[in-house]
Amino acid sequence: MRALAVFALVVLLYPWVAHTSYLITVATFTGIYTIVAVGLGLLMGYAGQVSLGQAAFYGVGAYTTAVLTTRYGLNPWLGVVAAMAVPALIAYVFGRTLSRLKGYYLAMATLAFGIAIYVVINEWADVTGGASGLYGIPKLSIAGWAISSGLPYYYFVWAIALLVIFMGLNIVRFRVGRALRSIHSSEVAAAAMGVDTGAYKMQVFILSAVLAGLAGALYAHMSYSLVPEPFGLQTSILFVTMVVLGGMRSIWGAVVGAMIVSAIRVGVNWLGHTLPGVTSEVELVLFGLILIGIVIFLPNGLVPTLAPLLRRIGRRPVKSAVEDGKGEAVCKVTSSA
Amino acid sequence: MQGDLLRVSGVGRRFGGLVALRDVHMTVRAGEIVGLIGPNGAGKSTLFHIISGVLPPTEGEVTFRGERISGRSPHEIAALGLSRTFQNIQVFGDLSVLDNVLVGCHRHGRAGLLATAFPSRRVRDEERRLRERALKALSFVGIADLAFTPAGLLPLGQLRLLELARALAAEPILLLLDEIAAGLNPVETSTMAENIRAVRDQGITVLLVEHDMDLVMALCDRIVVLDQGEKIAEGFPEEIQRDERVIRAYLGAEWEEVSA
Repeated sequence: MRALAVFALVVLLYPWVAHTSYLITVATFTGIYTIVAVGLGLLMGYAGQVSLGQAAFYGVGAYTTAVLTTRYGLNPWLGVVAAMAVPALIAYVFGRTLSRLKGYYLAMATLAFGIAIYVVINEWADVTGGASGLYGIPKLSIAGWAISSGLPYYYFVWAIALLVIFMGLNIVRFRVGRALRSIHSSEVAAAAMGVDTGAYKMQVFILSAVLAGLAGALYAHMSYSLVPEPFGLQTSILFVTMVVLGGMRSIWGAVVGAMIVSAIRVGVNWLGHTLPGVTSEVELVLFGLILIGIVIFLPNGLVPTLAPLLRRIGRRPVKSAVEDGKGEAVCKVTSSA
Repeated sequence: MQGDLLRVSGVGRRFGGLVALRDVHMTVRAGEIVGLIGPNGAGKSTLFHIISGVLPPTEGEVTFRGERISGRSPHEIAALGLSRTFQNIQVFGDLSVLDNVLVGCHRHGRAGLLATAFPSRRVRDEERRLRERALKALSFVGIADLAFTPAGLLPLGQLRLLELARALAAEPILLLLDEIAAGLNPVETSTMAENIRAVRDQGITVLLVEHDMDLVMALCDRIVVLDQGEKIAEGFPEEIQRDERVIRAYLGAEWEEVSA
């Protein structure tokens, strides 16, 4: 939790260092991605399931609030709530039909779902505006003050992202997180200890869908318009890359993963301006290479691999409590014993 | 508690054409240590899996505390107070020793996913309670000093103790031990025997599968013998040691000829 406080300070001070509107926008996106990545990290690292359709939940969230607020004049805050409820419902139906989420069925099913949703968003033009987009999405406002894009929206998104990180760190630390980690290790033993493995997997899957929906809603209300392009398979792979890169079994891993992926995108974008031929296609190749490299050389991901090293280097560095607050637990018990 | 804690009635189990268990009847009374023995492939582990819900029986039924448990899922059976260890150790290797035992305490906690996301005083209190319970189970088997070691690093003897501690942390009414002494040296085995006696003295009923005959004879109040999926004998240790069918099952027919 101390790491969270330090990180919050970094988030707070970032705009003083990076004050161009481009870098603020990138950081806002990073916050949105972080929300998705924390949910996906819980699903992959703790419930042991892969979703290759997280961008679809993200898209469903974005379009749910966008359609409800622009076409039906719904209050944007209620739109955000709906953007979380609809993915939750979809995830629930998925979980029920996929025989307790065993094996790789979920990965396959979410992959198909992701492709289907992308087609629906594109083709159902009467509602979604299709490829030409949906316009006039209202801003969220607090007590009559609209949260305008730029710095205010950056702080707004990160406040939510920090809350989500806080939530993730806690889930992992207590009873349910422990049960989830045990499922990953030996499902049969977990069940023999009274852990309802199917129910927990389902809950985490729903939570990951809710977080993706929330992130989608934040994205929708950041911009004035919405097009289908960001909600395709490419984005789903982007999310998986973040989680694998940072480290599946660590909440901070998801955060670091989201940050590094964003940084890489900035880099590719910058290269695109200087070198002709470097486009966002290059990005996809790059992420593919990173995925392969991480799986081969750092199967645990960056944070779980580097955290012990950082700790050894000394003076309780920033991410000392990185690993699920284990350090903290040690102190508590030994002092009470 | 009066009468039978666990009752296995006419249980059979087929895997395709292979009959692993046929019409097995047995009971375990509260407060007993019952041994389940038999040569390799006799169906002991299959019976354990059926009792703990890992496998459903193809015939017959199992009742625990008067409730039918066959066909229910393992976590539901565990919630009724039945806990077990595994022959091929099933420790959560990447969790600490303490966390392993805390998972054993799972059924005594209530905090759900959302409650732990924003932990209230109640959640933190519960966590403290579970932690005390887990540490108690660890000191009971004598490995409290290893609480913060990753479980995957323990040697076999301590892994077996950890499995016992984890099963005990659930505070079961009936404890199933599946070859808990397998691979242990004589010193470790006698420590384990002490532990099992101490478990019983706490009022926990024990059903164990074991190959170490000295251990079985020394520990058990009653013994049930399986051979090729069928129960061939049941009785006190002295009776079993003298039982001809048991001797034949273990040593084969030739031994009889030699000794005759």
